[in-house]
Amino acid sequence: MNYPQLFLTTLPELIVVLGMFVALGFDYTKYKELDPQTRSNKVAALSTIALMLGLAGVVWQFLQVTDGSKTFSNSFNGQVVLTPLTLWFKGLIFVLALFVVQFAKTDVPNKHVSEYFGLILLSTLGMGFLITAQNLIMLFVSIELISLSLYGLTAFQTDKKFSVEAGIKYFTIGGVSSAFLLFGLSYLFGATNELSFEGITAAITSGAAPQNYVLIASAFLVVGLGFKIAAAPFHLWAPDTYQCGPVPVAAWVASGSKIASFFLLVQLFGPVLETSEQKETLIAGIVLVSVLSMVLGNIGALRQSCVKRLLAYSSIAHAGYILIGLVAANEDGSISVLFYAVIYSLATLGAFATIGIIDSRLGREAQIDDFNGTWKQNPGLSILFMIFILSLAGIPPLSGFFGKFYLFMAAIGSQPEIASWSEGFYWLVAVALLMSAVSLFYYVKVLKAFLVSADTPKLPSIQITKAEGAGLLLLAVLVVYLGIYPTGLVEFIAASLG
Amino acid sequence: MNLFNFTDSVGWLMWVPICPLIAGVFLALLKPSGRVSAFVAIAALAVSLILSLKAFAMTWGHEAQIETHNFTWMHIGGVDLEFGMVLNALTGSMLAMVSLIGLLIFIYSWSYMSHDDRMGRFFCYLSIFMVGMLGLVVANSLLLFFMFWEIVGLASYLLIGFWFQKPSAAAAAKKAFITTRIGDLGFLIGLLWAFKATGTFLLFDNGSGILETTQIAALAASENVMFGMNTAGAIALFLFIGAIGKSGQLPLHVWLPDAMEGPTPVSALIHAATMVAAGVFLVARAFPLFIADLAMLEVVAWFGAFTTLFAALVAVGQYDIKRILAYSTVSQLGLMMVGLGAGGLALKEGGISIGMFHLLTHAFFKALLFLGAGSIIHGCNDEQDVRLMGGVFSKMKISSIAYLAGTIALCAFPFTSGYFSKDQILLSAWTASGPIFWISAIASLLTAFYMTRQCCYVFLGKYRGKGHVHESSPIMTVPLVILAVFAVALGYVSEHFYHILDYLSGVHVHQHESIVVIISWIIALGGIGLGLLVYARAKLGIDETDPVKKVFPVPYRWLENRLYADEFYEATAFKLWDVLAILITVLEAIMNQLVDFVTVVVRNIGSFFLNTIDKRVIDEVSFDGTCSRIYNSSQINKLIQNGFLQGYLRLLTGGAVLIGILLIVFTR
Amino acid sequence: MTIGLNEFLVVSGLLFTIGFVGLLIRRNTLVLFMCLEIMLNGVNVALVAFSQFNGTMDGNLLVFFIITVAAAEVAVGLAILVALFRKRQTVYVQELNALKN
Repeated sequence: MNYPQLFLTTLPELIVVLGMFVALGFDYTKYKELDPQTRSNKVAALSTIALMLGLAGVVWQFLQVTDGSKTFSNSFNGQVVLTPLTLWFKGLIFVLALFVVQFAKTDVPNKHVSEYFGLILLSTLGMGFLITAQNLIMLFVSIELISLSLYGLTAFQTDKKFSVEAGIKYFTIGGVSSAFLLFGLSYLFGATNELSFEGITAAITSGAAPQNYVLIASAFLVVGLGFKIAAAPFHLWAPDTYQCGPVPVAAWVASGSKIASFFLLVQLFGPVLETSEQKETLIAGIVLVSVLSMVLGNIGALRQSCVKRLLAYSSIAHAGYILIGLVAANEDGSISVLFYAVIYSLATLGAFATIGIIDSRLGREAQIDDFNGTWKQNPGLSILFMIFILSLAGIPPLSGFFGKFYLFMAAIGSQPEIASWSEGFYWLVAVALLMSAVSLFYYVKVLKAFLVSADTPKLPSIQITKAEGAGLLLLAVLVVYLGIYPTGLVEFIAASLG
Repeated sequence: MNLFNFTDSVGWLMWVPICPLIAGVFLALLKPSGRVSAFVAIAALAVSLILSLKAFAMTWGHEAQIETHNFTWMHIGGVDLEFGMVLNALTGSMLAMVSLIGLLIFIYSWSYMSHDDRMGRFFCYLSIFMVGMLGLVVANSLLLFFMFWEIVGLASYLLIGFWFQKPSAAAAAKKAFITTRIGDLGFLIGLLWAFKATGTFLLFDNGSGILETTQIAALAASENVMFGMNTAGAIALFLFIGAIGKSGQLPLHVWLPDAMEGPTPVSALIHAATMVAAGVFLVARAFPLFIADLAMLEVVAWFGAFTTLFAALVAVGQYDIKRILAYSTVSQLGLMMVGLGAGGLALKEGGISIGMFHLLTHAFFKALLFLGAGSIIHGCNDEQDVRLMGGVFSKMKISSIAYLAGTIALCAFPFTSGYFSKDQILLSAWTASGPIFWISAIASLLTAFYMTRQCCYVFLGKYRGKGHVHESSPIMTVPLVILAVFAVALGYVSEHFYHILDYLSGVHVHQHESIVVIISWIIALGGIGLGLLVYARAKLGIDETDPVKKVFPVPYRWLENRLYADEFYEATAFKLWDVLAILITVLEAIMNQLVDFVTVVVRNIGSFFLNTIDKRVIDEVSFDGTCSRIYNSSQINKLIQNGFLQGYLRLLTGGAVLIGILLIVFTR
Repeated sequence: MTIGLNEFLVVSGLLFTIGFVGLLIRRNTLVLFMCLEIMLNGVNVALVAFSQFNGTMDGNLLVFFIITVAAAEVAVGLAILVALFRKRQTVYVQELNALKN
């Protein structure tokens, strides 16, 4: 075992873990007597520093890898694989975690401040490891690391009546889907006798693996991973979790864990879908999940009055859209999935963060009506929120439009020769477009509430902290920028994948 | 790409949409006072107008010439997504029309909205709208076209709902946004198909663009792709679905009359002159695709013919001054489609001229009518019901004369602009297809009739409303006068009339057929005469029955209720939605049943073994318990998200089983 | 009779199914957690069997990880359960339906 190599490979994670322990230690000793808000500010500052150092580590690794002076490739039998692509996404996760920490610090759910931030940091590490994992063991461990931290975080709001109930539902359904995932993994292992993705892909594409086992494995994997991305019919935990957990946690579940899960999906299914003999079969399954998610998600969102729950259903629908890119089963499809996952996370994180700010100032869950007249009182916040919502709705020139467009284009371009209109995925794209037209109903409902100036606006003028403001502004700028100039990111992903 | 490249032949076209964009961003961020906002928006649009006129001047006399400026927006997966601008006669004429009318309406709104404390936001929205509209005119890429098209839709949503205090305005905004999006769905599929078939989004690209000969030939080569059409026809059909939504053609026309809830300048700008014409413009732009399959041209012509007749009929039964104009707009848009379709059948490329010329003349006289109506509404103390007007002519001379100028143009009174453009449409229909000609002719007759009816209601007799009628301020009347001159004179102000026709499509299209000329004279004069005969001496008012209603009570009631189109959707589309919701509930119930069945089987197998130990346990816990569970889960109103953890798990199981079945079915 | 791979897989599948059916029909959250454990053990059996018959140790390696993580999972689950009991004085899932629609 090459220990210096191991040290350098996991350097960012080590820094973050160290930072987490420092924060815990200070919180238990020095800060013990302080009031919760001060403690939260101090612990958040420590976490921020840890994450920034970790991010610096990631950037250093990225530079090393891109200029070729050092290779981390296939380190430790695929447990931690550092390529420009995985490092970029890990960096993105760290950046999103930085945002989440800023949004989380104003409103800590209970007196266990350092545990709250500790769990956020742990789930960040899990997501980072999931992205760099190319091996079933690491995959399983990092998924569990993410899940266990998020179960805890969801149930964290012990003063609220429903937080724990949401936590226990999330936990049980999560446990079941983990079992499904593991069952699938065990058959995958049985079929291929390999634990690394590379070996598994090779065994499947060469046809050496027994077809039956692979089929069973893929069915169970679709169920297990469908839960992670909150795709229907495995989505039922999502609305409860998003609504009842602390808002920054909901934001984190909807953004960070989505990116990591979709990255895994692309890594795991991408190569198999491109060449495997079971392509048709597997695609049929994914199409089913995709259509169900779009339909159930959008219909579910229509009747919601609680904005968080509305966004939860919209995230289910978005999982459906993203799966269309996976259905395309070619390189364009993979790129579009990753691209959409990124921009979706940015927009949804921004939207949740805005709602979190409003929730904490209101002291209760924000309903759509509460937004009446926000434009008058808080023009800046309203503009930012509108950018996020419009991007989710897919209005050009925001990034949501291009992302959706690219997904659909990939799906239609996936079949080289189409003799008539009934072939290809035109119908799937048509369903998606119809459903996105339905989604306008509820997005427009939210927008309208913002623009309507009620005689007595329900919200007071909101003072947001510098960190929150800067975070939201940066997210909004990214959402706009990636819509107008997506080339950079798309080309980077394409180059790294190919 | 170089933004400041003015030496490039057409790169500077980019600045036409960018000017209002700058104004819009400026207004959104800095929020200046109403006066300053109006000034900034008008100044920015004036710059656009100058550039547009330059574009017009450059294309005048160089009809066949197409100049493009393309640049790569991004590469994805080995293909380039290219954007660009195109300058040809179509661009030049449309730009000049849109920015000129836009500017006049901006000036008019300055006065019209002066009492509104949100004037800054109003001009901000208007500027955003102009960005989209001017942008789609210059776009040389279907994708870019679509993006601007969406911006136009968003801006129209914001503007229709501008007076959101009125619930009807908010509802109308939503209806407009979502109905047009249904059309956009077709557009997006069409453009994706076009990209797949040709590998480019560019319309013109030195011989390899979608609309150029080589690609069209390749697209037309494949036969029977969809409903017996070739690929070009199929793509055109999808694009036409987009045009149907935007231009309010028959199945999707319901949003346009409701959109009149917006401020009147908005109705004039968006729902008469520009945005609704975008659909027609799309067909004109993509015309080579339509010509490649003659079946598609017939589709366009027939859709247009039905729309024009339908809307003209409905307009006869309306009393709201803006609603009459709205249905008249739908009708005229239908007529433009007839022009494009029938013109294409008769003259090939020349069809563009026929449809587009009517689009241009219509934009002027319809904007005039709306602004005039706005002025009259203003003067009559915000009354919109024509039955409560009357005698307006003597009180508001300038507005009334301008309005009458617009009316005779719309009626196609000989030697007004509307006469020339409509005459050409009827001529093409005469050559192309008899039924379409007669449908259009009847619709035109009705047009003259209902416009005369409206004028009789508004201008003749005594004032029947509350308060006093007063003339509007000069800022409002000056644009009216300018538009009136255009409306009456645009057709023959110069000897260039036939020249304009040839200019628009670059081919010689002028036709002449004496009998059609005679028929159109009869139509215009007959319609007006009939209207005067019925309404000029009749007693009009809110308590009086409409003279036509006295004669034909039942059909007229149908017309008053807009031929029940909205009710039809209520009964079909919305019901369908309910059915879908129920279906999903049923599906969920079935899944639950399935799982419950498994549960029962498992339990009963267990109970078989336990039977000898304790019978009571089975009866109470197992059998009865399961029965009541089945009963509970069969209740249809129990939704998916019932809050019960095990309900969630059951759905999860159902999904897993479904996927398992799928895998087995698809493997063999 | 010789015990082959298929027999092991059947046992594993049975364990997994028993655990899952238990999750569907039992009401006590504690019992649900036990059922989860049964499902995971079903997976373990399959992994060990595959490892044995494929002649590698990789599967066994994964099994150790699963056992460890399962312990952690139970710890988190019980913590949430305790919090739940304090708040609502119940561990029965049919009484937890405050969140719906």
